[in-house]
Amino acid sequence: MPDAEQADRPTRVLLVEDDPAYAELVRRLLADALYGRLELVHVQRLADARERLREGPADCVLLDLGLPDAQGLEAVLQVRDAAPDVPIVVLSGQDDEAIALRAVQEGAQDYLSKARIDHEGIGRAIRYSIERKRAEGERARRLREQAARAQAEAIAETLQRSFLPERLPEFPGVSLAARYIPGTAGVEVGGDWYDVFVLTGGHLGVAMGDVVGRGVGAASLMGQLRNALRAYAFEGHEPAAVAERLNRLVQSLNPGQIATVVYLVLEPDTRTVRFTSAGHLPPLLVAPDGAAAFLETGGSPPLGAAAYVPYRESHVTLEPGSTLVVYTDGLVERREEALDEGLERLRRTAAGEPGDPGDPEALCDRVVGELLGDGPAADDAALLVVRDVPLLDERLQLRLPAEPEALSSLRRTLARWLNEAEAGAEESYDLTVACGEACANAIEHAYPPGDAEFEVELAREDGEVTVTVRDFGRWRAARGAHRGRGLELMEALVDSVDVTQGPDGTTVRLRHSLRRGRRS
Amino acid sequence: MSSLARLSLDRRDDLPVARLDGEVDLSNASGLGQALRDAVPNAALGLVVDLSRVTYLDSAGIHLLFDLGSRLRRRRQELRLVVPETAPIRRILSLVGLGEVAPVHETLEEAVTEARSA
Repeated sequence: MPDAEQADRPTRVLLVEDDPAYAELVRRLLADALYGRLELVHVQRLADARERLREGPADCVLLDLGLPDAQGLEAVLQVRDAAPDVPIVVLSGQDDEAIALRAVQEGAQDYLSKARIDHEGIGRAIRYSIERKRAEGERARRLREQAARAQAEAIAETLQRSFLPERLPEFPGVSLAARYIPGTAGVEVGGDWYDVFVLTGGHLGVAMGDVVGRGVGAASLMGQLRNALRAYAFEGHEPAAVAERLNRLVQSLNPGQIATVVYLVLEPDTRTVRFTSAGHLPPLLVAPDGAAAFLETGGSPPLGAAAYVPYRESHVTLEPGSTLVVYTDGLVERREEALDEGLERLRRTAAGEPGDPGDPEALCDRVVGELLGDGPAADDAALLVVRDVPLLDERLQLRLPAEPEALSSLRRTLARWLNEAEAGAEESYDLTVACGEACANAIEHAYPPGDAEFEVELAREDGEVTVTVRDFGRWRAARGAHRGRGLELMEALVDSVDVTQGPDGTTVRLRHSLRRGRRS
Repeated sequence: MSSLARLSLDRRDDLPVARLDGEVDLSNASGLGQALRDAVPNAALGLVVDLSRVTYLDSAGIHLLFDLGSRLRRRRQELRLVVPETAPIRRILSLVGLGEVAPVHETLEEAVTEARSA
């Protein structure tokens, strides 16, 4: 309530007093105290006071405690209920001073002793009570706002997290780590999101995106983009085609909105990365010797910027042990600094020493600490690290869903593992087909359909590879020539095939000696 | 659209020609089998399936080919396969004796010519 407004108009006082002579005295004292700038309404009963307060506001209520229809504290409580925002000054007789004190505890702003009343005292009491009530209201409003803000921030963060994967997928031969750091403008949802998923065919899809703007509009577009990107990717579209479709989606669903995204597909067996950027900052590649360089993305426009954009696909082949870093601008941008400086800081920080084990979690911590260490940034920031790691360190054990779609993923992993085991091309092929047959068996045994799994273990010892495939289903006789042919193939392709059937499932063990000095 | 394998259908006059690219396993064999069966009208001489660019074929895929061969034979139509010496799946096919149900050719042209003169 601005003071200027109050100074411009008379102070509205509601006097509740049943003694007309005393009321007249108060009126005169008030007129003196407020220099005539007074709008006094006098009522004799509390019921009339409540009626008046319902009809229109007062700046202050002067309340006698000995009314015909309400006495003492009861009168104060009734006025407070009728007009919680209006300050109350109690007029107390000599014998009810104790009650007047209670009245102040219960919400009255002040009290005046009827016997010692003068114009100075009454003027001060009214001005102070109005001021105190105003300050009290202000404090309460601030507290409410703080609570509401805290709640909005909590909702924003929950919403934001819902656009990020709850956990990153387990993917043999790839180690992943990610960070999301909310900005200081925390009430609203930021626009950064990322996603990692396993594609049909055993490839790994990685997306990092940034919707321009904040709040509900950005949030809904973020959700749409994440879902749509997955859907297009699962349909089998290549990165550039995914970006083109996302662009059309933004154009038709959210005209005027702009978003950037970079989408990468990693083929783990060949270590090829195919990627397309729609106006997003370039991924950073850290080679096994620690040298770091940004990938060339070809400078394509963001999603939503132009009606039809033919996006380009780039590709890069990783050396074993390479690391890819994707991120949003919140990580590298600082006020009053050229973007290139931020990018260079990221490049320097992510670059490692030769032989650096390059743990992705540690790399995330280092980058966030170095680039955002001096307090939270205004913008939110996201960071995702994808590192190629060797499979052959120890024996490799995989648990796979008993679904035909798992077979191609397994082939990628197996191809990589056999490559690391230095198997030749032909024997790799033979082992892959034999292993595929054993796994197809396991999948067909799985019962009931649904959450069933099977296990594959790969081991190499003294140049001999052992592949063990274990299912937990009931044995069923080979169905016709089809499955019989699978067993026939396994036996023709590897040195030995050993099938053990038990009540808890079937184990197929394939053994094959690698030829020495191969890589044919 | 499956990212594992792609099937393209073509015609040489009254002879349907199918080319298969990619990988065939338990996850996509039955769908591909259906598409191949649908590609052969009753009046056709038979079907040529070009497998030159198939990089992986498991027993579900082999079963598909055997099944396709015997279905066509019952309709007095002929299945011919194109699998060059250098094709990745060549050895697997010879291991299971696929040549017994369908003649295997080095090139598409050879398969088409043979199908016409048969």
